Amino acid sequence: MSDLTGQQINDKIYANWQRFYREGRIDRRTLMRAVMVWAGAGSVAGLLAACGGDDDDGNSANSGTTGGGAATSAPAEATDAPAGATDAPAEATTGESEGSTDAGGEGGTLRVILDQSDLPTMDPHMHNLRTGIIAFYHTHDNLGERNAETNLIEPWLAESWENIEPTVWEIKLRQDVKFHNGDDFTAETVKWNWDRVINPDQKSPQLGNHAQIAGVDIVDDYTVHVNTKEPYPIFVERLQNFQMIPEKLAQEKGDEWLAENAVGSGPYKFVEWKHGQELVLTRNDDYWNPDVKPAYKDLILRFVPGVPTQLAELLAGNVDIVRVVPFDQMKAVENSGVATPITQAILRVGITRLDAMGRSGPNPFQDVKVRHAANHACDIQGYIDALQPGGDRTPAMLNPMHFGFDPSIEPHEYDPDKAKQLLTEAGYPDGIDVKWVRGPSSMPNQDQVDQAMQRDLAAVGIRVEFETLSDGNVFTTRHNEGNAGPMCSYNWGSYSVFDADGIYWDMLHTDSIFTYYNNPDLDALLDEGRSSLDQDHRKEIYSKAQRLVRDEAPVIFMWGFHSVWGVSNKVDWKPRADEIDMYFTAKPKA
Amino acid sequence: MASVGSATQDSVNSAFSQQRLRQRTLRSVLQAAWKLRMSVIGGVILLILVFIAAAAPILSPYTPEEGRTVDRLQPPIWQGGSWSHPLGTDGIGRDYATRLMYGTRIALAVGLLATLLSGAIGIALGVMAGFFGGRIDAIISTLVNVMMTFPFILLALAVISVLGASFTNVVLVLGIGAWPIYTRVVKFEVERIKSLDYIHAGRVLGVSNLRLMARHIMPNLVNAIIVIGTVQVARLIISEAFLSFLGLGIQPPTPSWGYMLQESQAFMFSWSDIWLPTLPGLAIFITALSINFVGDGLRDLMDPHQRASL
Amino acid sequence: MGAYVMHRVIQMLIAVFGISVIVFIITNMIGDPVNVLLPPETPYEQREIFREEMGFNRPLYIQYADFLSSAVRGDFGNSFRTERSALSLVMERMPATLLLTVAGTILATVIAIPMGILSAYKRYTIWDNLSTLFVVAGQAMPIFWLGLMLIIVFGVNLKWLPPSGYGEMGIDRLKHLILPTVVLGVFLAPVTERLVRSGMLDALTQDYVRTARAKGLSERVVLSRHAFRNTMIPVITVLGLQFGQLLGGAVITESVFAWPGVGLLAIDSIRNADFPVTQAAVVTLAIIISLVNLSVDILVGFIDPRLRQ
Repeated sequence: MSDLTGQQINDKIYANWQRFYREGRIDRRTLMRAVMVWAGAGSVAGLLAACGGDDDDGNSANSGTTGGGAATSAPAEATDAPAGATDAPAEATTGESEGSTDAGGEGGTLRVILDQSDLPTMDPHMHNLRTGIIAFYHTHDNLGERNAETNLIEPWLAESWENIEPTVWEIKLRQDVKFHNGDDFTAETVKWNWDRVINPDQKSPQLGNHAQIAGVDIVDDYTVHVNTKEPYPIFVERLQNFQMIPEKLAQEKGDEWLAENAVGSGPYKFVEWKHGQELVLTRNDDYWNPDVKPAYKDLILRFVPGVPTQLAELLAGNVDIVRVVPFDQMKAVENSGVATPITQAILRVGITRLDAMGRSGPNPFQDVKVRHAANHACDIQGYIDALQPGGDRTPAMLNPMHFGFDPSIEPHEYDPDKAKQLLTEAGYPDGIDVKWVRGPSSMPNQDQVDQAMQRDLAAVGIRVEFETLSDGNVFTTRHNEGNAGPMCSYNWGSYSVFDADGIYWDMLHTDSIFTYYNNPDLDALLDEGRSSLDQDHRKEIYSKAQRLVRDEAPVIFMWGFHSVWGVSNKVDWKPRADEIDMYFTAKPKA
Repeated sequence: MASVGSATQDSVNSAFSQQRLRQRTLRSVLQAAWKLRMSVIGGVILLILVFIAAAAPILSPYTPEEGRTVDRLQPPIWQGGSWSHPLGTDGIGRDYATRLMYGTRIALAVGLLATLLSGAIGIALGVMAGFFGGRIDAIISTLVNVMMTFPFILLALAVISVLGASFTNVVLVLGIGAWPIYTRVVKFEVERIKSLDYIHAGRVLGVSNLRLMARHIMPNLVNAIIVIGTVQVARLIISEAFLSFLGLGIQPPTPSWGYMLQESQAFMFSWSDIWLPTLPGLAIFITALSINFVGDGLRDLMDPHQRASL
Repeated sequence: MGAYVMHRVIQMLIAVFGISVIVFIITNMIGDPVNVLLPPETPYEQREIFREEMGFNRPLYIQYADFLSSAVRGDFGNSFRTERSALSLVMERMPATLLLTVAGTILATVIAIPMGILSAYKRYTIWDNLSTLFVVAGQAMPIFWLGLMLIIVFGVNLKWLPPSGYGEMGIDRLKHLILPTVVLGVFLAPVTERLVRSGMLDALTQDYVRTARAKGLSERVVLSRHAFRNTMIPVITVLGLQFGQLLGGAVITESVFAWPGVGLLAIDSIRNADFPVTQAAVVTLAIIISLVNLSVDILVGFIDPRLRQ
């Protein structure tokens, strides 16, 4: 059991950063990043509470409320592939449905569907899929894990961590953790794991996430020092998505064996991986964490691509949880008597990018009038109501859950005549012909939304031709290369950072590799938003930014998604807003 | 008087016999038609389909794209829908009957164009291989072997992935994938004909190769080609539908039956929505069926053995 | 005979070689392997370094030579997505495809043979017409639609059978096998029936049948011993030659039912730009088809020396 709570650890770290700054050992920019990390790890409720404070010495720390939700600036490092076209809710629907009631966690098998035709590997370091992350959260543990409500990273395998130097993090490890094969979890383990991932010869797809890690030193059996190349406030993020593999076993068996066998220390043990079919796990009754007692003895994660089939399996009673219920089928699920649809607002926001910068080549959207025309042409509320009910309008791209969201910003009205007029004013009385690049669907009914938009755009003269790429990675690469335009579908999860910065910077700042928009005025606002400690001030800044963004219309503004899970009526479980679902919290319904 | 009478009698006789001849011809036509009744039915259906494809703008007050999202999923007439949308509306409010009708255009167009393309390539190569023989034959035959060993659908998928999905590319891909069958048959026929005497004679007389090919060999191939061609049209229509079903064919909003099938998958969960996946598939089936019936009949007509029994 | 076999074997090798060339060229045109292998955020310079290290910047024919020399040893490289050997992925999925194709062939044969015999024997009667109808309808049927409808009716709404997937070993698998087999059977039966029928028709008019009849042998004996046996050879021949088509049908069926066979693997790998797997899958399928064709050719050549051209 850890002595320190995530909150206390967070505060201590922040205090250290302040000290380093006073001592002149880190620059202001780094301090600002640190502020955001510290503040970002606060409850959503807390985010809305103002946290006053001075700029100068940054001692605005309030114990308790971590206010302001200053965003962690997470440059495109996180494993969460920028949600461009991740295989839709390709996350596991690991809903552990419990078959039989039992507080002590008796028997029963939980069957869940992963929207994936297969996992590529059983080695948690060698993939970059969300479904993989979710699967391995069950078989392996991370040093820290995020609390969904507070957004804080809580101790898990690590008891505590602290930035003892600007580029050195001291991590104290739990001493009572055993891997499934009996090996001990020690400092050796941590060192070996990190060495492995940052080793270029290993070719881990997650290498980019750990780019700042220089190396790990062992201090004693249960203490390590992690060295970073530069002061690295978002190091904490790394703790919650880096699964630990037992090093002795790994060295003995080799990579090929690891790719087939998921041996970790997690609440479930690996039983079998039937390629292309399912992953069979069984409960780890010797799990080190007394607070986590999975109720189900066996957990089966099935690979079933294609939503219709997944749903059919759910309604037939063959599986207990499914991660995607198409909106049109919510009623059917509701009425089935077998399962219930559970809706959860998620941070993810959809947009249709307009290449204002000309990054993909010269195009009509470089004219702001044309961009406004595109926005006025679309009946956004109509699409939401008919096709993806529950969606939260994002008039300036911010989701109401983002800190800084200004409800006074008016969305573009649906006004085709205005759109036509704007086009004419811009010099296109006969309309324009443009290409719209899109990847695989990210949400149910996405194709219908796209086609409805295409129709409405055509009605004002913006004639769209789709280019549909069938693979998410291919799409993401083209997008990041600047080769997806002039229109392109995109969505962004903000790396679970509930702050305006979490989306604005990556989507619109000139320095971001994702942006197709370039405005020094906006850059200045965003930079200022990042550097300020005063939450009220930040709110003002982001209000200005929102007005600017709305007036500049670099995208067609759409909405924040609501995702729908399908959960068997025999199971009691709730999904998370950060889309990384953890199912050892599921219980059988009494 | 007798001569006049006999002349009249003769002319009456001949008139009668002429009429009997006509009757016999008419009867034999009807008999043939009865034997070929399936093909005739197929032909009629096909004509109707062609008509629908051509006259779609007149037959329907809507365009296949128009509609309001709020009008989505209106039921068809037999499920309580209204006559404004007798076959209901799709997921974004477009009239289903209209989309089905315009889908006929796509299906027939792709089927026909792709068949023409593959036929042109295949026949040309087949004639060359059969006529010139030797090394040319070896190369072409090897190519045919290779192509026929490559699972057609995978080849189509792979090439579309390179070219990108569009109407033109679908026609290209199908055309490029389907030519081998013509080459084989044509080559065989050409070789057979080539050995006939009058060709030898032509050669001796110095008629140019091209002329020989064009005037003497080609016409004899027509039978075989027509028979193969009709079957191919049906097959290619189905192939396009499958490509579009996978999202790698005709792109929206152009109504391809295959794409409509894919869209309808979201609505397969209750009996009341079942018209959405049923109708487009039925359309593909009926189209292919009618073409196959016609093809069958043509084959019977072309085949001298069968013809005799008509 | 020896020369004939040699000739055929060489043809087969050429065909497989040709396919490997085609699939290699096409996959390299689909996308840039560098982009597939590296995470999307990788900066340009790193990509170029990677490209050089992996040899993707060499001229295509050299890369092909490399590919070929490894391929003949069974090494198609590792999947871009999963780092596992491409060939092992293909092999692992082979049993599923085999199961499906065998089941489909059996079903098709069981339907087609009686139907073919009956319609040949009772030519021009109602049976013949019905079977013609069946054949034409079967050939016009878009099997992916048939599969979809079966899933909708039996899998989703009536819930009698599982809507897709492979199932657990045993009874469960058999349940999962039913619908895909029906689809593949429907795909294959028409052609088979036609063959049986025409083979029977041919045989029935042969002299030896008339002789048998003249000898007073019962109809049943005439049918079974003489006509039928002589029919089977051409049937088997063309079944073998249709094997390529059969695999094509299997590919489609696997994709509709999410049946984890080589066909689905091939489709997925094309969509994911996972070249080694595409190459391995296509070449393997080609080899199998060629081997089947080869065996049929040899068998035919053996039985009927006239056909040895």
